[in-house]
Amino acid sequence: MLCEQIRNLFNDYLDGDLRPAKKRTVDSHLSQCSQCREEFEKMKHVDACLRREVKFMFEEIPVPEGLLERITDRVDRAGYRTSFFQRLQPFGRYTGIAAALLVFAAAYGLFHQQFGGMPFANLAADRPSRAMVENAGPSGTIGGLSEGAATSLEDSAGPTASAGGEEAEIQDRDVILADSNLTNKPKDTRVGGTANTAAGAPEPIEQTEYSTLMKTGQGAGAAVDTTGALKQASPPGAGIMSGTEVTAEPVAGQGPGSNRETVPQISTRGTQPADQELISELIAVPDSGAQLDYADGSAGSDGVPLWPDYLPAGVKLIKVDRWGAAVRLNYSDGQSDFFIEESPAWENQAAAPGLTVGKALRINNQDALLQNPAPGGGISLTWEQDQHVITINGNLPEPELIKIAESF
Amino acid sequence: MNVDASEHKLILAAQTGDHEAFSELTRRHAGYIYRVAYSVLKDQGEAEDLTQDAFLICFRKLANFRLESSFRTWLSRITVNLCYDHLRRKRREGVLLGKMADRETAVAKDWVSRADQSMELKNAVRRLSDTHRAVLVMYYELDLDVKSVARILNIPVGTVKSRLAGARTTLREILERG
Repeated sequence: MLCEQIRNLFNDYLDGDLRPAKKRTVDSHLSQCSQCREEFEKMKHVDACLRREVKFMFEEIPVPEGLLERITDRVDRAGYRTSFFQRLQPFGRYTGIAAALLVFAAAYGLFHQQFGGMPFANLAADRPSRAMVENAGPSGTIGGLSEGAATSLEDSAGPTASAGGEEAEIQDRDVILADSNLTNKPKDTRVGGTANTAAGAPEPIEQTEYSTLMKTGQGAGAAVDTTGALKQASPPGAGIMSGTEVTAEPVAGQGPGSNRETVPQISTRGTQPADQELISELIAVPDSGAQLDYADGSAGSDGVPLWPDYLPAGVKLIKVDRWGAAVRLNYSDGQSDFFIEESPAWENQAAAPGLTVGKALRINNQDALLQNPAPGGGISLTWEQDQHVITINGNLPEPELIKIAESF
Repeated sequence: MNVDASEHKLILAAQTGDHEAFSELTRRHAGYIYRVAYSVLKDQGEAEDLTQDAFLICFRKLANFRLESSFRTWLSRITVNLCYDHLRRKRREGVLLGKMADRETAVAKDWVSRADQSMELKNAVRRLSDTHRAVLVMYYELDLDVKSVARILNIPVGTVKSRLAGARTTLREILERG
């Protein structure tokens, strides 16, 4: 083999990416050719220098003071809040989903007992957790599905547990913005939409390890979002959920302390320009004079952009629903209707009831569950991404639905 | 007791819920993981955010850690993946829109032609684009092989190798200019 051909293999040799046969060829050549040997030694020297420089550069990176404390604090606050599904993972891949189904059944039964019943179809269509939390009466009863699920399974407190108090405790990164002792980096401040204070009966919240999971938006008579604009738009004592509900319908069980005025809140990371006008209309707050600034993306639920990069031609955003830290974007092109729903993974009890069996897929390197048909109709695709559960559901062709999902 | 054995014990303890053990693991590796994040992101605030995220994920996934690789390598991989998710999101949001390729070319050209060799070497490494720097850090600092680097960064093995080869060639030019 010519010297030039041998030298062309030096980089592969240094990368440890030479097949044994070729490596033997190079070694054999080097043992006979002093010029190539010298060249190879230079290459090795360069490689060693580069390694040294990279390591120097790495070690010289200054570590911020207090980093350890902030990490520990973050883990202390959020680390114990292992997602409900994660804690079930050792028992099997879809055990969490099955358990969620049981939770749903239990919560539904308890809800029936508490509120005298709501047709199942309405529950499925209107997101019971939203309806329950939003309409929690002045007695402080939590009737929401997620709260019911959380309390019944994890607190053993049942759905009638009082959840008032001056301040609802919220953990994980969302609460960091509310903690003046912590850093105020952009990430920590962009999640205003998920931190809530509850202004209701001054009873302490039961604080068990997981009991704070579901407390967002939860309050005896009122749950007021800490987002400035929301405060501005919210009458004192009003029971306003954090977030958007553009179309509000009266729901049985609404207490006198509740307020049906809805406050829109939209994350616009990656907002499709075509929908901007519609979104602007959607977020106009009636009678309050306040308009939320959605252009800075600060009102998102968290991390993951809510908006896919791909949507089928002609599809438009027609409605935005929001409850707690979850958002549902409803799309239509006049013929096909579908929605995209995102909620934090630790709230995925609320998203899971419809999931039983389906086809396992991989979406964006994550396990996903495709149900065709979905229990509620149409096709449904659910996966977890960046600690959020995202569901797309509608009467779309399966490939289109997957294409949308993969564009997140 | 050597370091690995004590770390092994700490990991096992942390996996059973020993918070002190996890704190000790955090103390041992926080600085290193921050540097990994900073090496890729070149932004102090973002690097710290991602470091916190990495430890949080580590805490939550620790039960799944099989002790087949070193804890530091495992945590580093989590961190690098987070960094790349973050960069991908930023790109999607327009912050880095389409600039990456141009920047890489410009930086590569700018890499040569410097006077002081030592400073030149440092600058050369420091001024690499995110993607080049990540390859070098993962290959030389984290001691990952080219296939692992390619898999984590989701780029072809050939790209990893060409970046390593390009860095060596440039460095050699600097060294030979003396």
